[in-house]
Amino acid sequence: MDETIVHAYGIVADNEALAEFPPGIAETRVWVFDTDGLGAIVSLLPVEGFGVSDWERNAANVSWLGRVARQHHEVLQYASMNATVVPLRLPSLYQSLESLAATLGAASDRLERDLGRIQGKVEWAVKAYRTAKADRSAVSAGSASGRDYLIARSRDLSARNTVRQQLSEQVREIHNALGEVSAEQVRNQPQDAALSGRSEHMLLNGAYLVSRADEARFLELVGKIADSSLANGILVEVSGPWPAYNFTGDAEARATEALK
Amino acid sequence: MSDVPERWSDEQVALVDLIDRVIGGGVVITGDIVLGIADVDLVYLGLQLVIAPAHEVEQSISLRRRSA
Repeated sequence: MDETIVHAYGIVADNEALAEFPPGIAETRVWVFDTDGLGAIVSLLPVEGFGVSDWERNAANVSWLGRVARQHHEVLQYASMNATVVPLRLPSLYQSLESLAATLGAASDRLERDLGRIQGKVEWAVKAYRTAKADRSAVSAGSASGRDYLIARSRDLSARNTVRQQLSEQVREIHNALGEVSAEQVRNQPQDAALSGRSEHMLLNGAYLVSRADEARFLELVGKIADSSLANGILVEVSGPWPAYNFTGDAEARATEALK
Repeated sequence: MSDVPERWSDEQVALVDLIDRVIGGGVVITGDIVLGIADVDLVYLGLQLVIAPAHEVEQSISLRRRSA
């Protein structure tokens, strides 16, 4: 048999019955490997093509990385629909199942804490963008003389600042309102327009840990907020449910750090 | 607009959202094969290099050098 390497996708309690996983990275078979008290969602990747040097070589290869990220995510998405799962950050490679078991044993306290934290909850993402409407309201018509120009320009700048402050305040209110219906919430750094391919400026990149019992209420509130914000030049979008990527490990600390 | 948003299928997940979460979120358990933080930065910056417009590439390269 060709040499393999262990890839771990996420952690579940060891008694979770998860049978029909989608194919893992490189179309490999995925299963739950039970260790002492914890289950690791794993598959065996061929070393040829997925060894450490391959990850390094493909670090800038979007099609390779995108495919791997998608397969990693699809396994976690399936698991999180059917169980409480702590997602592991990509890449998560181990020499053998034995070394994985030893590693999990050493980290079992914080993994169990994470499992408890997200039990019965799912992550929703809400983003807000500044629409062209908000931009236009801060721009005045062209001016005739130099003096008029300077006055108009100063008025423009101050109007733009006011608009910016108002938008920022509204977005803070949106985030807080959604937080009221959530167990936890976090504001991540807005995504770069070059990466997202969106022309609108991103105002909010929020993640919300919502109890399954509150999901309908949360989504209803998002719908209401989306309706009322549009008139103020804010476009609100929701996606999910996601595995709890933002509410496990040190994700929150990283987000806080990124916003500084 | 007032309808509760529909849940998506995996095909619709944007690459940037995927990368944000799969590489930027989740738990790190240091195994016996360690891909350090520098490598993860490379992954992210690598993505920027490919997608970013030409004028931003230079900046990304200098960031990459600083993190190395």
